[in-house]
Amino acid sequence: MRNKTKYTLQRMRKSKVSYLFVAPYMILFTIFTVLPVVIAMFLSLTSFNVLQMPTFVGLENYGRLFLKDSVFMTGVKNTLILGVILGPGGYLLSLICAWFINELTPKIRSFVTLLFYAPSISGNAYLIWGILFSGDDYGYINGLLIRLGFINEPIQFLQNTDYIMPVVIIVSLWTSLGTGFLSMIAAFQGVDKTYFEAGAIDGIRNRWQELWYITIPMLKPQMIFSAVMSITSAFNVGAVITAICGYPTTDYVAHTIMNHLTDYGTTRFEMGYASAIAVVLFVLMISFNQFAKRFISSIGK
Amino acid sequence: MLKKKSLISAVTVISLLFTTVAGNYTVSAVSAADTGSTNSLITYSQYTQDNPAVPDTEGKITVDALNPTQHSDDVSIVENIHELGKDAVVIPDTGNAEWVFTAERDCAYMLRITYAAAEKSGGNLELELEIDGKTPFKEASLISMRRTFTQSNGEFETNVAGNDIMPASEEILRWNTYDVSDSTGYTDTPFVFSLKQGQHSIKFTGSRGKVAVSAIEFLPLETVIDYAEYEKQYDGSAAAETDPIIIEGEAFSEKNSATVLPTTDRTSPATTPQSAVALKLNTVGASSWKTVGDAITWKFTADASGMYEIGIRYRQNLSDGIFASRKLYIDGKVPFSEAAKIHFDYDSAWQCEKLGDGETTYAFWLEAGEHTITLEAVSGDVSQIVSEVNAALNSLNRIYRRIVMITGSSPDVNRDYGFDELIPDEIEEMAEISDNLRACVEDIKEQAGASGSYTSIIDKLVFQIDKMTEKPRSIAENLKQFKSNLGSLSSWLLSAIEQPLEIDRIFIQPEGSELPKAEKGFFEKLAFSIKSFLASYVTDYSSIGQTEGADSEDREELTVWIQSGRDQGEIVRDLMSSTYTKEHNVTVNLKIVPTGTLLQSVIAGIAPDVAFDCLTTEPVDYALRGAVVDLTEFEDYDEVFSQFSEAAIKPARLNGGVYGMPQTFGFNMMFYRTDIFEEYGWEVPKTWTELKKLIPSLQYNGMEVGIPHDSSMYAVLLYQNGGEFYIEDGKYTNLKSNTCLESFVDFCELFTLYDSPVTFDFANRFRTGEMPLAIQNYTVYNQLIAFAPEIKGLWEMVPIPGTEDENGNINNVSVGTTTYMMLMETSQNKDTAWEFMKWYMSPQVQSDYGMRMESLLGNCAKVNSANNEALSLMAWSSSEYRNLTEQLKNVDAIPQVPGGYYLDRVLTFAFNRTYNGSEEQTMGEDPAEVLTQYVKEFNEELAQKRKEFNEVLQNEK
Repeated sequence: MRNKTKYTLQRMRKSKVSYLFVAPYMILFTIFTVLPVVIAMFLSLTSFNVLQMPTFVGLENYGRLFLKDSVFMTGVKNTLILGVILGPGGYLLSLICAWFINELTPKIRSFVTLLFYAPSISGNAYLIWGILFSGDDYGYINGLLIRLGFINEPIQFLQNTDYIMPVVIIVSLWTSLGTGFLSMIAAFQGVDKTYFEAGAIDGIRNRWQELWYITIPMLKPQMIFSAVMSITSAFNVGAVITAICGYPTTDYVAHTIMNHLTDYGTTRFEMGYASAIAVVLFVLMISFNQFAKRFISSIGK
Repeated sequence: MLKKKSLISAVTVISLLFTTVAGNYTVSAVSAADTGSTNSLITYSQYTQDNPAVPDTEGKITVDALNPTQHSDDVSIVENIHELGKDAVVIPDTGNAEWVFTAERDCAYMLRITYAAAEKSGGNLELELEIDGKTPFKEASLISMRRTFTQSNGEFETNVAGNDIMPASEEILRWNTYDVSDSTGYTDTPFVFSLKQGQHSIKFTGSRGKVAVSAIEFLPLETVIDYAEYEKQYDGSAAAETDPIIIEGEAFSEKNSATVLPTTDRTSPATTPQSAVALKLNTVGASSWKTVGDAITWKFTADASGMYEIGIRYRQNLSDGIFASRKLYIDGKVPFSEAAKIHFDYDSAWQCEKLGDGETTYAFWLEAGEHTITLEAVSGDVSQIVSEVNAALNSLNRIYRRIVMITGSSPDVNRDYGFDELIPDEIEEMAEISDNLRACVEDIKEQAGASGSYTSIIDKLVFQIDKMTEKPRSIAENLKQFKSNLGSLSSWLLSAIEQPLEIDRIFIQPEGSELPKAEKGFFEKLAFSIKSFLASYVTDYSSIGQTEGADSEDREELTVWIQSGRDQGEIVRDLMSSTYTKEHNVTVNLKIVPTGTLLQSVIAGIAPDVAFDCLTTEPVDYALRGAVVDLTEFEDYDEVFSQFSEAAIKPARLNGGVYGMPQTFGFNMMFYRTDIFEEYGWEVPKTWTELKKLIPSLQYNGMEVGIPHDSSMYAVLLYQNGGEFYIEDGKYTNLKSNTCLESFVDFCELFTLYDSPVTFDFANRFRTGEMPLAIQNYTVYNQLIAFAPEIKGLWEMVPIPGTEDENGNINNVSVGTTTYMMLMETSQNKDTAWEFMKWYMSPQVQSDYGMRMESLLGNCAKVNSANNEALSLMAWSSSEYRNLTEQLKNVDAIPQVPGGYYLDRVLTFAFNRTYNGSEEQTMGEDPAEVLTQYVKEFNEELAQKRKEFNEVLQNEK
């Protein structure tokens, strides 16, 4: 045992330059990512009203979360719905858009890329959906429907429980074309053309086969990155909903875990409980990411 | 600088100009909104047409001011007032006085009043004027006279960072004369009053401030010689033999408005005094010196008699494409007619020029000895175009309404309405207006140089009118655009009259000497830029208000956080450094922080002593967690808090304590369009029953009522029915009580049964007249002033409708929201902090703050101070103030309890389900039933929160 430690230390001393290089990132990562996660795990076992010292309550928060809090269950349900639709949906959308755009000539390509990427650069651009779906009779969609004679009264898209979830899904899909999409475009362009020639000689007959047997396997690292990004963002949906449909949404129909977290953290100042929610979200996200990675690795094999 | 000589007496100019007669809907001067009756008054242009001016060259009429023939009881005659050597009749803002006098012959006069402020208090002095029992014309209904102020003498105290501290303006009481003229600047010369031979009466009614009047005279019209004649008088006089006199702009001796302020220029190294590191108050004016009538006076001593020239280093970079005008007085007199409208041309850079008309430089004769030089902002040569546009706008608005009567507000573009047969006169009038406007634009372009940015909006409108008159068929399709052009033209009017100017230095030098260059050389400028760039690394910008003297040892320190904008912060800083820190031995650290920082700072233990701008919910939230001080602990709590409405304090109450000091308080008022109500003959509803009766007539005419669907509106209905939100001090909700449920049904019916829109943009619909009646927080006032200037004077803000009980008493209680100042528990200097809060919320400081905000951001920056007395000191018109105070007598607020955030949620959910469910009748969701479903959930939330804070809540006082 002792020998082993000694050996490790020896190895570390040998490659101290590498450790030195890693150090700045590792220090920052520890302070700003690892530590908060650990603290949140600790806080989730306490009752903490933000301004006074936390008191230890054991697993009470988790008990309340899973057994008593029906709104949390709505949150989990909505988050999973959004996760399932937006994760793969957004991901496929990224892939397909990237593939199509890749076929364009360079100049048009960079323009269209900008067009598609714009929603995620420009922060709160999704607010324009607020005007589109506004419940005012001058809201674009309501205005159009009234003019065409489909309705007489404006539909309260953003307050009516029947419409909130579909609106949220549309807007989130639109915003999900983010970094993942950009990295895929880059990857498409990075694929060596000689592979296609070699593939053609080896008997690839159409573009679909080209995509499936050459492009996608070449794209795997970017695809995993993209998948992680889209799942993470799908689970993090919350701010968009608040910005468009208000907070909280009517009868919590589009309440996500993220919304629930903000609710307890900033409105009710129950940080212990909010930490418990965060921990659950954390676990959920990690397991989905693992699953996604395994699934993508199996493509094209 | 003066490029164009004045032609003839402006009186005749004006009477020529107004070829069109304005209708009833005149967008009027400031005062029109005050007295409803002004709508039917004639304008000054009509008055001058009806009474052609026959100047009296022979003598004046002196009204025996000290012996009014009748006056109200509160008017008094004071001998030797302020020991200024004159007796005066003192008229308070509630009093009136009337005099009878005789005119010898039919003549025209200007009216001169010798007055003084009877009390120091800030804003302009205002009197309503009546001659022979009626207001002679609309513009003269309210006469506005200036007070006099000083503000240091150019020597400023500095704070730790070396920045100059803005000194306070101090009012001086003294006699001034005022020739009654147009306070809006549409007319540039004093008004001419025509009097027939015989007995007349003149009556002053106080409107604002306490005025001491010592003389009232009707004087013959003054004629000022022109420069050619002036030059002839001093022909042969030699240039003075002396060194140039240099006056710093910021070192003025007097000004006539508290809001004209010294300011800082850091763009040019040639501005004096200049520093690359500290902020020096080195110029005067800019945006604070743009209102017509604002004047600044400087004193200087001439060493030798002789001819002098006046050079000014100035910048006019705010009115794009047009000159600013100033009237020059030397020793209180305009030396020659050209000096009454000197142009200061637009340029983004500093300019240094001698006063002149562009070709000749004016020379002034000065005796050796003390002199004063005064520059007054005047509308000058733009008054012509502005009054022309104003008149045109009135006519065009009338024509627009005439067209709408034919077509309706959304005309069928494909139909030929036959306008040339229906309204031939109007079409001809439009063509005439267009020609007039075009001539005006040409004229102003010639004077201001080539740039067309000043007149671009007029050009656009003229182009459109031409299109419409040439082809009347196209009127229908152009109508919408026409309306919006009229709108932008009326907002243009407001800015077109502004005369911003910034002055660095004035040079009074012997005729023929050289002026320094306006700007330093390239390398000097570069060096200055580099220096100030480097200095920016060591300057602490977030701390805007560290003010202290050198003896900082025994001083107490106070940290204050402001959670609003930088403008607000700067103003608080200025107010503080000019009075508070001088009088108290305290160093105040003022910081602007983004909202949401306070919580973190409390956790980290670095909270400030006082936090400004806290939300309605925050005092109770922080109090529950022991983070703020209970203000009732202070001895003078009762006295201090008597300045606020109980409704403003209510949300900060918890367990008998009060945890925040109200800072701003805004409550619901009802806004309505006076013109539309008059047109349709509707009465302004006083009760909900009346309102509900009115709704169908509105809807029949394609209009609707704007009612917010938030908890404050529900609270209005609930309180008017005598209900309450909570029982047992917030332990349970009262929502399932009958009153609550009935009120909720009423509330929902306004939207389901009476079909009021749920989502709407109030300002826009109010402007177009689609929503002529709405209930909104009164702070929307600001938005309307800024956003919809074209309906200025066409709307009013009145108390909200009430609920009538069996005895016929109307309960019109309204509901408001408050922002608070909180005193944090961690503060080391609680008593000092309390003193500071008291100082800040005192009526004087609050009204100063309000006036500074308005002078900085315009009259759309009214502050809704929670201090009721401060509200009266702010620039509300008397009818606005009357309506506000009437509602203020009857306001309430939603109490904050632990878990109270759930109330909004419950009401929104229940409302949404009721409203959206009512679409599909099959659901048939009954409002009362829906609300009851949420009561259990709400009570559980309240119980949960009470459990959490059991200990705090037990310690009841």
